[in-house]
Amino acid sequence: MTVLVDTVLEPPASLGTGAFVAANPRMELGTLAPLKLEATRQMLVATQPRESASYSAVMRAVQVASNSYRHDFPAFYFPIASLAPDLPAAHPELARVLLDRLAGELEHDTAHLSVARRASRHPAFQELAKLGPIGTRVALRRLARSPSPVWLYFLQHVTGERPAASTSSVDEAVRLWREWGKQRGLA
Amino acid sequence: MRLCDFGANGESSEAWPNLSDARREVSERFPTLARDGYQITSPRDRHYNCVAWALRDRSNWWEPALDGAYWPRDVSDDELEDGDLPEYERVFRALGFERCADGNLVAGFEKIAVYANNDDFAHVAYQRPDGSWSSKLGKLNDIRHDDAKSVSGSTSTEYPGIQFFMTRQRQPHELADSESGLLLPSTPKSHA
Repeated sequence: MTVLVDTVLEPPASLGTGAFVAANPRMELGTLAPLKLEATRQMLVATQPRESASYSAVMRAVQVASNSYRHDFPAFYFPIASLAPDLPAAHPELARVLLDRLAGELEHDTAHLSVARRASRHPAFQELAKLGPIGTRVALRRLARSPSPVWLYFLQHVTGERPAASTSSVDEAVRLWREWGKQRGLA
Repeated sequence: MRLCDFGANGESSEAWPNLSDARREVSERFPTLARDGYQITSPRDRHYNCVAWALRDRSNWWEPALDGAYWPRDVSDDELEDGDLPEYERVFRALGFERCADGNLVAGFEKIAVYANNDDFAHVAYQRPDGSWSSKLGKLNDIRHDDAKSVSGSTSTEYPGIQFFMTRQRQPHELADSESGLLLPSTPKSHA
């Protein structure tokens, strides 16, 4: 991780404030404000083509931010859908890392909730929901590894479907949803 | 179900190697509870929640309009849009509970404390025969706490305040009513 941080601490000067935010997670992410997020988003949009070295540098910075914020800034959630909606298509491996981190945060932060639908207020839930089928794939993957009423609610909320409405067993609902995903090529 | 013979503080790290991790996780999320004191009385279990626990069910997650959850009535998302607290109260009433003034112990009656943020139900705790309270914390552990208010607070992870108490004639709660109120962590449990 240290090597990666060193690599991205000096992003191309042309990238401006947004890159600084992304490249200095320990300094900035704890107080990351909507304005800074918007600056980062605009910077990403303005940096063309997306496969350019500068774009990749910022994305690596974002990855470092995502990997390193946990202990220092537990309240930060990387807004992948809002900030870089094209990331899953452009950088699927990086997107998978970020999305799994987002999903892990959602699981951790909602573990004590007595009402699964309350998780819909969590920023990670909302970011994953914005990604539509991509978010659905993440939920189905996590459901297999970490069965939870929160993921069941996420799936029915995002897809509008209820393939497991007739069962009152969490485990049976997980099975039915995975089957649903396989039939649609999502799991 | 066998009850666990725990030590003087009601918990046994020998019987449950992950106890310290569980305590740390609960205490981090519920600072008021950590300050007031509590005992962990079961391992984590994602199959049931606080409503199920208060109603003697350790096999089902009770929540309206959720795949894989049990709820005694058919309810649509639309009916819950403006807040689900009335729906929860409706079910508690159907199971014999009526609102009461407070959480003071009354012989022969059991009470529940209902926590909510305006009309959004958040949690329910069950009063044990000795006057202490028993809570299932989401998919985490069951705990015993002396003060019903201890699981509520102003941080983002604590439950909101108690909206009201309800009571009905006491019915046996095989697990929460035991003298120790503690479950053996390694007790196997089958799920439907």
